[in-house]
Amino acid sequence: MSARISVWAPCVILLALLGGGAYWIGARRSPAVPTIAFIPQTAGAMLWEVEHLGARTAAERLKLHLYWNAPTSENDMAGQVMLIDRVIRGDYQGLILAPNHSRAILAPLRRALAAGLPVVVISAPLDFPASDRLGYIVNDDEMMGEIAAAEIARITQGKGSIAIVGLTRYAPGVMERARGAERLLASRFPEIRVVSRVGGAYNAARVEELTNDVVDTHPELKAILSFTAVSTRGVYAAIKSRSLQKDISIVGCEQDSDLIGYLGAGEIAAIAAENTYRMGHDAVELISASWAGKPIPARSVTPPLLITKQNLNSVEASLFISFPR
Amino acid sequence: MKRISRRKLIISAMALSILAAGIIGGRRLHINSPGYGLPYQARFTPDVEDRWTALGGAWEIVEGAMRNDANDRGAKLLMGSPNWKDYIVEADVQLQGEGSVGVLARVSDAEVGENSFKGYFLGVRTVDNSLVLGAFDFAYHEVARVVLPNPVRPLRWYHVKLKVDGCQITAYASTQGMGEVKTAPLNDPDCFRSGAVALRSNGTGGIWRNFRVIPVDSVTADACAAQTILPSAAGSSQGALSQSTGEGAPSAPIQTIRSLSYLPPFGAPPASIRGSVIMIRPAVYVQDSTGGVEVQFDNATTLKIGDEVEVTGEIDLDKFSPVIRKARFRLLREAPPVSPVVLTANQVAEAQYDSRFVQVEGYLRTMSAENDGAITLDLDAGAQSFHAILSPGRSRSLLQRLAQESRLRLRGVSVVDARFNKEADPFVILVRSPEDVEVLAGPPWWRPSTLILASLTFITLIFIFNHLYLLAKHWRLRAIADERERLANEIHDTLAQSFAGIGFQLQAIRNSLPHGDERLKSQVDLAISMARSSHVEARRSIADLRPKSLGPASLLLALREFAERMVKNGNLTVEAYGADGGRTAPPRIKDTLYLIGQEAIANSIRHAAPGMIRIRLQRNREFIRMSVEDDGRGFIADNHHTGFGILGMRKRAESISATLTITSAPGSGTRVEVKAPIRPRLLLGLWPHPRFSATRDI
Repeated sequence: MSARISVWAPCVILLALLGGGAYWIGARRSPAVPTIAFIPQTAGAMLWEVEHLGARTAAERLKLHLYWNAPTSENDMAGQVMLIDRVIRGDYQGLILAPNHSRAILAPLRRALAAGLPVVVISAPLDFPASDRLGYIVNDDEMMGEIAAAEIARITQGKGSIAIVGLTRYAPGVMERARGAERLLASRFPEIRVVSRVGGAYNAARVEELTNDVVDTHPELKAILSFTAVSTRGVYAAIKSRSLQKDISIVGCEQDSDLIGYLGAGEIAAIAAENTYRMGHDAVELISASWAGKPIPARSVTPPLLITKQNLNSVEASLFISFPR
Repeated sequence: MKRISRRKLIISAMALSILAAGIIGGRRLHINSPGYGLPYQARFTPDVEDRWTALGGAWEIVEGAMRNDANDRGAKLLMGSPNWKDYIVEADVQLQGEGSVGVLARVSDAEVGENSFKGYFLGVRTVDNSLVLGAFDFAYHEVARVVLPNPVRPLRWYHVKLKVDGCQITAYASTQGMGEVKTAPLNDPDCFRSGAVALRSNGTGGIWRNFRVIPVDSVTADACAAQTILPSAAGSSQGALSQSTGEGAPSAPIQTIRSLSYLPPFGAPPASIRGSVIMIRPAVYVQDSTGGVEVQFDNATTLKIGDEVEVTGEIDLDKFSPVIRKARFRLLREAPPVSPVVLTANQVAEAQYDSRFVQVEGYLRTMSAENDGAITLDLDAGAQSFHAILSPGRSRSLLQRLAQESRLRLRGVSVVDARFNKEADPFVILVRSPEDVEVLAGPPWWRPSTLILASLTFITLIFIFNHLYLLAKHWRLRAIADERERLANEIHDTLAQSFAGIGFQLQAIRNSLPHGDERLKSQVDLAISMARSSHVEARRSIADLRPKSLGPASLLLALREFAERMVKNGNLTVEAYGADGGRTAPPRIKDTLYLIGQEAIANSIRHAAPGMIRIRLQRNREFIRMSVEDDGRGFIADNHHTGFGILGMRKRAESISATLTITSAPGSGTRVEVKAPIRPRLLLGLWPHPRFSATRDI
């Protein structure tokens, strides 16, 4: 027995050492084609799939691999943190991130930078300083708020009661949209009165409940301005259930396939859309350029587009709402 | 000689142990003496006041005074020895609201809780405008109460003095314009005999200064009553603080704190909120059931942690978190502090608990003291990392108390504001006092420093064990050698002498036998031969039993003596050269070289008929070289002419990793050279000592 052990033990140890060494060498070896990890707020939604399309187009042109994964919902902060940590541990040469939380993502972002990954944060800025290895490509959120508010003003002819929905401080970009919208309304349309401001950026059921309360409290309401796709879905559900689509106009932010459908049916007045295609495309290019030693620009801003029934089928709008084939 | 040294060593060690025990015991006795540490005068500066232990409350040192900024019921801050007996404890005290503040004496068994200790309390109380003397034994017993001539008011300094002398307890108080008030002395035969001192407040915060403890026997009885330190304090009854700003009805409708986020994000809209104060320093935070908010007053306030207030001000929504600026407040109620919300770091990072009082756990990565004296802790908690900031003051003691990688539980206000969050963390915890940092577990044992220490200890133990093992083996071998020596002497003195005597006697008989009796002669000759043979055998046994180690003697000298003995009365010349480094050579090497040298000399004398034998010895740090050279007839030095003697020499050389070289040719003499490496000294201890080894191969 002991003789058998004495024969096998060195063999097992040798095999383990060989296996470990091979794994280590394999793990250390850089792949022939570099891979960029792309983690949006969530997947399957038009807003992010358009971005996926932009990133994929750039990656194919540059002959790169793209790893694309996201939490199953916009408010799954822990899921996004877990994905970032997986990217940090894995064999990736860059990270593109659309954070779903403005604070909770800071610690993993710092870890990613410490691990040497070039990072581009897209959609909304974070309270984290840019550097040669960290840049932002953001939506012009104040402008998005302004064009949405301008559409509200057009619909209401510059007067009447409106509600603002989807305010959440930790949702990236939302408060900037609110600031842009309210500033425009206060300065140019003083006869428009904001009678209610409610939260719920990432909770459609909660927004539906709050919208019902607002409608009950303010029967004179003429329009609702909503700042996220999720909150717009909640607003739409409340208005639809009361058959008030003709009486209360909805202007939302962030493109979404359902909302685009409602827009085409005339049940939603307008949607201010982010140019996520451009953001995804440019982010891949910036990461690729950083490998050649080019610093990532601190901040690039992409303008939004207001999509209405009139321009829904335009070429310009198609870039904002096309799903990848 | 050695035994005497060991005995001396043991006696010295025992004496040292007794001396050390005496010093330690004496010091302990001194520390436990009733007067140790007295008199005591509190300076209330962060660099010296780290001996206080808080039980409840939010205690901090501010402007030379100790403050409790929380409305805890029965908050205590203890210091001193449990063996203090008869003393006077006195201080200037100030109420921050409705409740009582004072000092405690002879405190023991203290825990967090309103009545959770044993001891005596003296304080001023607003509810009945009185000076109260009470005893606590986990229940309150009011012993004496004196209504003061003037109402007891917050923000006014009172001087209180509690004298505990045997079982007589007396209380005094005075304030500006009131004169001194004294309670009736308490004479309690079952009194608490000793204990520490403490500050205590109940239902409100308080401020203490000019705190001191002096032994009763250091002042006379009259002087005790007259003694006061109030003049230095009495003139500043309002201190730097202003009265609460009761403003009546709020100028804006009351709304929840969460709804502040939904106000128009520009133009500093006015708003009013109601909530509990959760932090005073470094910023004021108020929370209600929906959230928390920072409140900025234009002037200093008298708010305390726990106060329920109505705050009106302008809402600044420019930052991530709303801030109420230009605030005014109205005190609604003095209430105990709110409890923290227990959260994980991930939950706090979601920012829904921003500006709220939370409890969170993390592992301490680093800690540092800032220029302003604040302590910053850097913590990890799973996927999140965050900082905790403690205000300057008592938190300095944390630097000594906390170890890196400890698991900590922190209570404090979670904020994301860039003013405190300089590292762009998901959040920062503003800790109210050092007591809000709790060590749940120390650093793990597998830290590098612990592993290094354990390894060093392990190696040291191995060396000690090995040394003891060799020592035991050494003693055993020496005992064997001693016994063999004794047996050899015994044989020499008895058997060998007897055989010699028998031989002589037989020889005498043989010489006296008449001629012709050949048969008898041959029988005697046989007996003489047998006696001689037995004598030789006995001598051989003696030789075998006696140790053949060279011992501490010089190798060069020993070989020279051996050679000279061999050629005694002959014409052969013996020469010996070289510095005698063999004296300090490892014993095993020296003994082996000696045996090889003996063999070489013996071979030379037996077989080579030399006229001269030359012995050389050379040593450096790496090796010892020994050579034995003669001018005899020589031989053909190849493998065919190798006898047992040469084989033995080679084997002995191999046993010490030495090389043996024999150079010879017919008519040219012979040279035997051995080159032996010297092993590192570190390993010498691992080698069995050969001097007492019972080797038989010599």
